[in-house]
Amino acid sequence: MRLGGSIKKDFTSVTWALMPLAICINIVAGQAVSMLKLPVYLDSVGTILAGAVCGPWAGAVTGALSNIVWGLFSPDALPFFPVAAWIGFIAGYCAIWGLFKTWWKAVIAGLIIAVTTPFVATPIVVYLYGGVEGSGASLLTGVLIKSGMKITSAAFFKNLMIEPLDKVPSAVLAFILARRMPRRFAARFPRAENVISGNA
Amino acid sequence: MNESIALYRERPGALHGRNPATKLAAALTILAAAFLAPWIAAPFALFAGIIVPLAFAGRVAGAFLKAVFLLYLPFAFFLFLIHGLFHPSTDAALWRVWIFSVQPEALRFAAGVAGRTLVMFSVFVLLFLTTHPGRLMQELQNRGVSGLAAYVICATLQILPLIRERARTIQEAQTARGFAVGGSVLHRLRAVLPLLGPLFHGVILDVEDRALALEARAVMRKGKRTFLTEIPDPRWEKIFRRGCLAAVAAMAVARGVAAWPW
Repeated sequence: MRLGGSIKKDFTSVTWALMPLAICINIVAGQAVSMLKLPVYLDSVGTILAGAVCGPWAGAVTGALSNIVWGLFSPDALPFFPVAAWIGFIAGYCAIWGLFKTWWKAVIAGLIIAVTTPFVATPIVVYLYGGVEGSGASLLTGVLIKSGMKITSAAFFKNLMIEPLDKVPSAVLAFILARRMPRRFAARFPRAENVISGNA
Repeated sequence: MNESIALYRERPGALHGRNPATKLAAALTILAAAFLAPWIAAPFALFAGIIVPLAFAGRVAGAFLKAVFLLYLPFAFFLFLIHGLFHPSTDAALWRVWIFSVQPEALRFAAGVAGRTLVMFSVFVLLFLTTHPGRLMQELQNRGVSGLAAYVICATLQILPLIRERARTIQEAQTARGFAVGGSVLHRLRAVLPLLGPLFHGVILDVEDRALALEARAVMRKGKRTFLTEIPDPRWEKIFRRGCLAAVAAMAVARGVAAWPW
């Protein structure tokens, strides 16, 4: 695909109008999950959706701004904006590769997102936070350190184990929501063809 | 809490009237000092000696301390738990209990991280407590940040309460139709759909209206914008910001010189 020209084409007024709403979906999904007491976050569903229907760069901007908005409430999220940007970006490419066309392909998209994010998240969490987050999942990092791993590897493998639990359901949910979209509206997004197959 | 403006509290304090760019520059300078100082105690001194007094001067001390400790205490707990107890045993251990051993090296590392994160959390909490997000975005827009990025952030903060209200309505409607919250993990995961599905449909309808509104206001056009309100930027604040830049440069050079293998 041609990069330079296509980036501008993805940022239509519809894309910019979707972004704040996608960020709200992130936040509300995160709250729905805690209400249902689920062991996942699902707080990047909106970002993945934006990446899928508006392209990788629009996904990246949505992710980054989503973390900045979240940071206005809780500043510990601010330094992780590159991670959220990466999630939106790679979700956009997964959609270009046709991974948001069926539910099992969406599972693969979730796995791709999950195994690539630790490469972005680990340097941030190790350098700024000493490899630890303020949640029980950090005990897993502790066990890995105890087993003789360096902090960096321990944080990396902890992310690698935890991320699929969150990103696979997130990607499948984004896929279901995108597929349920009325086609009249879907057609307005710059990359609607990524989520809608020919005769759906 | 007024959730539409995030952490922000309206108070007649000494910080609220300052230019947002000045506050951001000061926050980043304090942050740089915490990261560049070669002493473990330095970030804690910055917190106690500069950031906390500033919070009192801004009349937000109560909200400030509450927000910082809600963020910081769980993090600090896990930080010292993991670096204190979970490192493999060596001869240098301070003391041992069963399989756990506490080592000075690991504790020093944890203390360094704890200090820097304390400063990082607290300067941003203070900045966002005393700076209205709209003013911050307007000032950043004056200084070259994309107006569209500022739009996304401000619009999100404005519509978030409405979307939350709508999510509540949907949840009540689904509950009335027999929607149950309990069950196995898979069952509960599936329960996300009847909540998010209708919300998402409503949102998609909104996208079109909002895109039209953006087009009608020529948001996509390039060119300089004027604002309804002016943010005052007195001369001494401009000088203060230059001072901040000089201070960061000086600290970076000093740190570089100290680290140079002579």
